[in-house]
Order: sequence, then structure tokens, then C-alpha cells
Amino acid sequence: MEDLKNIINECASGNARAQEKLYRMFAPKMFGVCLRYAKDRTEAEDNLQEGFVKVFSNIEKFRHEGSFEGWVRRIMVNVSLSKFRKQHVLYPVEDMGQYDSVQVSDDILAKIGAEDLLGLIQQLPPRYRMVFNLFVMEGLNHQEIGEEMNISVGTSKSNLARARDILKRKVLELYDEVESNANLLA
Amino acid sequence: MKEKENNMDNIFREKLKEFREEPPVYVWDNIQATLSGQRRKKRMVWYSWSAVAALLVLAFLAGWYFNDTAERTTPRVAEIERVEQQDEKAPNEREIRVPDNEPVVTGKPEYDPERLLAETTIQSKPKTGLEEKLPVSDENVQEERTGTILASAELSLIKPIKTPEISTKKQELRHSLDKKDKPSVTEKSFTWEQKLMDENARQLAQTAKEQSGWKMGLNVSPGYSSYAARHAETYASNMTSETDDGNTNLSGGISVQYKTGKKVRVESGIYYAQNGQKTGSSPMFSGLRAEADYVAAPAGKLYFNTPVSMENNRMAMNSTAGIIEFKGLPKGAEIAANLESYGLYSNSLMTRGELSQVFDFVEIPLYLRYLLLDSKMDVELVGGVNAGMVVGNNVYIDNEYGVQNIGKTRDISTVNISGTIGFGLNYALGRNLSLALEPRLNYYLNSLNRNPEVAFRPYRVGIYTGLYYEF
Repeated sequence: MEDLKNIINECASGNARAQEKLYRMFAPKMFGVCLRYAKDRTEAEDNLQEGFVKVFSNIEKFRHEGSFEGWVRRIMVNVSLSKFRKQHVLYPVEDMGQYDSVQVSDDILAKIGAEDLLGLIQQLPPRYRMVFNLFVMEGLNHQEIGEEMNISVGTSKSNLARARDILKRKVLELYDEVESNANLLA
Repeated sequence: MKEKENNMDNIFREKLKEFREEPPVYVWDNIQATLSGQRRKKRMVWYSWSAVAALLVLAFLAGWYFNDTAERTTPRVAEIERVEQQDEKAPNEREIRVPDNEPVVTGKPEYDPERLLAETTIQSKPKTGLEEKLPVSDENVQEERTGTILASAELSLIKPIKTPEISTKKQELRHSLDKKDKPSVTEKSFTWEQKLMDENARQLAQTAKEQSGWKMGLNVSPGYSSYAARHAETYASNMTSETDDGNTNLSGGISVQYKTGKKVRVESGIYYAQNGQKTGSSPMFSGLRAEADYVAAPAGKLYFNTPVSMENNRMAMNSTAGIIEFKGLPKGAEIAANLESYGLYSNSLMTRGELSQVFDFVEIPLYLRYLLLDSKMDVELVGGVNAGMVVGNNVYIDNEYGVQNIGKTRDISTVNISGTIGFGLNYALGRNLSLALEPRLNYYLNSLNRNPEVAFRPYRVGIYTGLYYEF
């Protein structure tokens, strides 16, 4: 960890080698974060790039309090959020509808690979994707999500419900049949 | 149901939390390129600002140099004419007047009295050409000319550089404004979301604004300066006080602001400003004063007829801003003895034209700016004090011989304090740049003149126009 601190300090004084080292350490994980918030790989790559530029130009402001990874991750999330705000400011539909929930067994979910789950999230409509990510992955509550995204608590709640619903339907659509077939064969 | 959802969330979280994927190689290349680009850009901004500062200093020095040469050359002209009052006996004036065309290399600092006399006789006749007026020493004339040419060359150098720079910036900005304008037209259809979007945009602008603590500005202002004055009675009785007028001029400078609170900024900087007063004269003749041999001033022309003191071969005159010490008798002016004792002074100075007393200041301000209205067009209240250093003290007369520097005002204190109050209208042109329009009133709190008989406090009103850069 002392090593990381050194690298951070070197980055702050503009050392290009240290910057590359830091990038290699964190890029794969942060790319994972960006992928979740983006609709496709291209957008995720753009966000990762913009996020790391922000990391390096603000790194001297990092006070070594709390986790550095958390700090970098926060920047990535913020970049994704601000891009979302720019692109989707036009459609903050007040969504208070109730949906008939479908049920998906945890067994099916548990069998789906991470990459496929990621694909499902990426297919969500932008705002549902944001709310789902912020709630489930960042652990923000609806109040905080509302502030981040400029929406009401109610909208955030219903968006989350809608996101879950869509995900379940997709899971059923894509995997239930496979599952039942497997059952038949067994 | 709730639990079910939690389970689903948990599965997603667990599976994706540690998910990692190697990004493509070109992402890092792009990051590197952007970072080195930023460094270059930062340097460029620094360069361009130092260039602007250097230009300003150059312009200032050029102005100073220009002023200085004017000061140095005029006394010669005046000195020649003062001899008018000496006895006139010139035996061979014609021969001496020759060196008009060929340069004189004698280098004698003292003027030959005979030549001066020759000059005086010509003086009394009306003349037209400037060449004839200065047969004093062609060497000096030469020097003066090159000086003027040099100064004007510098000015001409400065102007073309300055203007394109400012105009191109404006053009760029106009482009960026255009871009922003277009999408907002399409957004108009979602009127019910307009409020939300406006709020978004405002907050975005707000965060951008709050990031910056420093602001740098470049201002110029056309101004009108006038004064408030009081004079002791004896002083006033000998004073020229016919038609008093203000002075129009140009001032400007650079300023730096630092944000100390949410709405408060502190400003300092360095400004150049001019203050002064003009005294024309009325066509009326006071019976007590000397009657001029010109009968009356032509209609519409200002005529000057004021008592002056002649002590120790020096001429002095009471004026609005203080006692003027003459370097010599101005061209186109006459001295006459007063018929009756008028005030304390026995002589009168008579000339057509207008007298102006001009003071150049370098002002170091300390202002507080308070934000009254925060929007695309910010409105600020500006107020504070200046330390005003007098760097130029000149008296000019503007008559049919042109503008002549005739001397200085006596007892002017070098360091003075003035107060400023004004409004600042700040229009954001981009993220960092804003255009400012600031009407200001600047009022000197102490009398510029140390003489207890004179209280002269100039003020000036100007509309400062400039650009501010936030960083």
C-alpha cells in the first residue's frame, strides 16, 4: 500500500511512468464500472478515458484519506452520470406506474455469467440503468439518487422497480427455456 | 417479494462487483495524448497572458516616453519668446537667421542673445509654417522629430497587434454561443421540462463558477473628469475662473480579483488614469485688467485674460487646481501691465485659447465587489479606495499655435487617496471568459494640492469595458 501512495505522489508531480503504472493497476476494474453505466463498449471506453484524465489532473487533491480505489470509482461514476445528464436531460418521465411483477427463481439468476448480466444491464433504458446501478452497485438510497439525477424520490423508486422488472423479463425470455429444457433432459 | 428483490440485487452485486475487463490499448494512448495536450494548453494560456501584460507595459512606456518628449521640447520655444521684453537692438539679425536649412553643430547650450532677438522680431509678425518657428537649433529639432517618430512608430506597432487578438477571441466565442443556441431551439418543445433543464444548466454553470477563485481583467474606459474645488479669497481674487470645464480622456489597466466569499470578491490591480480641468476664457474684459491690443476675441473663440505674478523672472498664475509655474511665455501670448492694481498681481497674460491642467495617475485599487444578481449576466456592486500616484503633471494651452506644454502645477502631492463606487455588469461569454461593462465614479478624497489656499479634488466618471478571465 505504501507503494500505491508513492505512485500517487509521483503521478501528482506529473511523472508519466507512474501514471501508466496507476492506469494499469486500476483500468480493468474501472472499465468494468464504466461498462455497467454505459449502453455499449464505445461509450464505456469514452467514459473510462475521460475519467482517467480527470483522475490525473485532480490527483494532487487526493488527501490519502479513505480508499483511493473508491475515489477513482467515484470519478468514473460521476463522469458516467454527467454524460447521462447531458444526453438524457430531455426525458425525465415521471414514472409512477405499477407493474405486474414476474417471478424469477434465484437459481436461474445464479447460473448466469457476469458478462451476460452486464449485457442485460446495458440493454436497460438509460435512466433505469442509472438508477439500478446507483442503488444496487453504489448502495445509494433513493434520496441520494434523486439528488444526483435531479429526479424525485418517487421517480427513483419506480425507476428501480421498472428496471428490476425488465431485467426479470429478459432473464425469463432468454434463460427460462434453457432452464426448463435442462430440467426435461435431466 | 421484498426479499426476492434483495436476492436478485445481491446476485447482480456479487457477480458484477469484482468484474473486470482489460480496456483496449488505444484508451491509454488517448489519455496520454489528452494529458500532454492539457499541459501545452496551460502553457499557451500563460504565454498569451504574459504577452498581453507585456503589451500593456509597452503601451504605458510608450505613452510615458511620448509625454516626456513633449515636456522636453516645449520650453525651448517658450524661452525664446520671453526675451520679448528686453531691449531691442539687433544689428545683424539677417545674417544670423540663415541656419534654417543647414544643421547647426555648435552645440552651445546658451542661446546667442542676438539670435534670440532676431527671433523675437519675427515673432511679433504673424507666421504660418512651423519650420520658421523653430530656428533655434536644427539639431534639437531633429532630435525632437525622431523622438516623435519613434513614439508614434511604437504606437502603430502596438495597435494592430492588440485589436486582432481581441476580435478573434470574440469571434471564437460567438461560434461557441451559436452552437449552444441551436439545440435549445429543439428543446423548446418540451416546455414542461424546461424548468428542470434550466435548473440543471444553472447548477452546472454554478459549479463551474465556484471552482475558480481568481479572475484577471483587462479594462479600458473613456472618461470625463471634472473637479470640486474651493479657494481662499485672496487666491481666488487673482484666479482665472472664467469658463471652467471638465476633461475627456482615456484610462485603463489590469486587475486581479480573488473570491473570498460566496458573493464577495476582492480586487486589486494597476490602472492608468487622467484627471484634470480646462479653463477657457470668456470674451468679457474686466475693466481692471489690462486691455489687450487685440480689441476683442473673435466670436466663438475663447479668450484668456488673467493676472499673473512676475517674480524672480518667473511667471506664475493662480488657477483652479493650483498655482501654475510657467516655463516661459507661451506662443501667441502677450504679457501686459495691469492698468490699475488688480488683485496682487501687476501683470496680465493674454492669449486666445484654452488652458488645461492635466494630471496623470497610476492608481492601485483595493475594491470589494458584491454580487447582487447571479445569472448569465451578473450584476455586481463595486466600491473601494485607490492609492493614486501622480506620475504626470502638465499644463497645456491650446491656441492657434497648437497645444503647448507651458509648465507645471505647483504643490501637487504625489500620493493621494480616492474612493470609487460603481456597478459591474458581467456577461459570460464562455466557461472562463466574460465581458464586463462597469460604470464607475472615482472621487479624490484629499486635495491634490498641498497649498492650504487651494482645495482641488478631481473626480472622473468612466465606463470601464473589458474582458475577464477566470482561472
